[in-house]
Amino acid sequence: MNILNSILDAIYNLLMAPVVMMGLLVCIGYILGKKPPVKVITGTISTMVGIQMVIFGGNQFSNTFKPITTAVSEAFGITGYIMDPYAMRSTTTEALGDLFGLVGYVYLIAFLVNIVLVYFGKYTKAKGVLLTGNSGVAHSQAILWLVVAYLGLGSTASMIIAGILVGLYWAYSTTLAVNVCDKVTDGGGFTIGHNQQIGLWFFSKFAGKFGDPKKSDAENLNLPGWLSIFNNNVASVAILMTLFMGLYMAPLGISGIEEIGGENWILYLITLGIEFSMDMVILLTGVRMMCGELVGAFKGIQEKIVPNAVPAIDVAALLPFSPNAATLGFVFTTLGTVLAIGILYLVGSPIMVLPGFIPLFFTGGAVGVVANKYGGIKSIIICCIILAFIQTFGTVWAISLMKYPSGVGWSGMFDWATVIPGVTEILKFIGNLIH
Amino acid sequence: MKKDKINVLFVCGYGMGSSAISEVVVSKALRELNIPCEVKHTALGEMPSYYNWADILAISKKLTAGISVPENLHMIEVVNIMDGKTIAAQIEEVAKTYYSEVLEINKRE
Repeated sequence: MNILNSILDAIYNLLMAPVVMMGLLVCIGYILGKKPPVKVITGTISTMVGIQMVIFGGNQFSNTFKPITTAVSEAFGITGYIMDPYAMRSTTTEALGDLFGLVGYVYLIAFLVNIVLVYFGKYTKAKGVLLTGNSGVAHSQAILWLVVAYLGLGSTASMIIAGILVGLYWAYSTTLAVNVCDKVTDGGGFTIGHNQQIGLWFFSKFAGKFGDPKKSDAENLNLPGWLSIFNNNVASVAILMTLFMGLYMAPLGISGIEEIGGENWILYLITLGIEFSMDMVILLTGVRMMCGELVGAFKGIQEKIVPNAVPAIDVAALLPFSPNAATLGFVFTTLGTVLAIGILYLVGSPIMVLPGFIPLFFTGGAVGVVANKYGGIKSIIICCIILAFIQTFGTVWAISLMKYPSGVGWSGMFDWATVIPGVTEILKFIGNLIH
Repeated sequence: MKKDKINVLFVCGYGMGSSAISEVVVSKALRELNIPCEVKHTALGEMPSYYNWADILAISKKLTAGISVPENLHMIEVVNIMDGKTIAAQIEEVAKTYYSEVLEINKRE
């Protein structure tokens, strides 16, 4: 009997291991999709390698960042966090631990809720279906963690509640952004399903008040060529991280920085930027392997069940409609974020945030495109500085609610610095009621 | 070995979302046009590692400023990533000019 028990135990533990659990889900997906056996095996293993890589990349990200925050926190009592969706991914992967295996199921429930809401769109008013697999996984794991942390229910209940919340977010946030996307793309036939679609709707409401888009269209400008450096994600992450980490560690003084780095401070800061960029490439490759087939599979399901839905896709889709506005949006969101960080220093905030590349480039860029369409260049400047303040202060709020103080950071994107922490407050309130 | 398909690489800022969905919608349109292609997607910063593989680079118009690609590769600027038909037509045009032998092989089959 003992032998049987230990075998059953081993099988149970194996099945509960996050990587196996998610791999199994993908495997079933392939079998249901009638893929040939070779594809079932190679696809499943690729996904599992991808998941393992995401976990590894997340740890790596933490390892790069942690010794620095510890030193700054010991010296000044300020704890630094990175505001970037990949930091949130890393935080919640770590926080969930073994529960990480449930993320795939949360995703499926969320997708189902999203499809059902759109299917009954006549009554529910929902139109958008989120197809951005990479962000969808991040949403699922973050919300699952918040539900687990605040409600403290069992894994099945947590999974279902998280799935419903994520599905509601997908269906309604993407629907809110339909009109603004239509205007920016001249009826391009899609909406945004990423991390800032509520923000796009928000800015479209008043971006027209700051100027005339016909008189001051950013596309008529000639921007300096060197700005295109920031289009390159690998270079951009390295440069921004060297700069921001330098600013963040500046209060330690040169000797303090050299003590942490164990080498010349300039060399150390440059190496740090390169290391962050490498961590990011690892994470990107992992997510690509993990979600490689997700987009196609879910697009197929959407076309079959709700062919008239508006596909909700990555925010990068808006940027080519107005490349200059996107670049200016990035520049002014970055400037505004530096200002906002300065204010955090001045008021003595115990939480400090360091912007990653994504909230600046993708949300900043997209708000720039929207602002330009409605109000021209002046509107880009005003809207992006407002955006920077909302994202920075909102992220401090979200970090105070993430219930995992040792995590490396939080998303930093508009929706995750406004609506999601709002929902988290409600979860916290309900959690207090039931405990 | 004779070339029997054209390799198309979709490039966006992070190689995650928009290039992936573009790959899906364009693949469908290419099948309808009967153009034999293999498609992949990546980020601009990682694009050079695909130079040996790719024939055509389909790059988001946001990212094309100031970039240079090897002479033997053909670049297409993408504005609406969801407009599979337009992008497939852009690819077809390049294919007719530079890869007519691939299109011929496919027709005979």
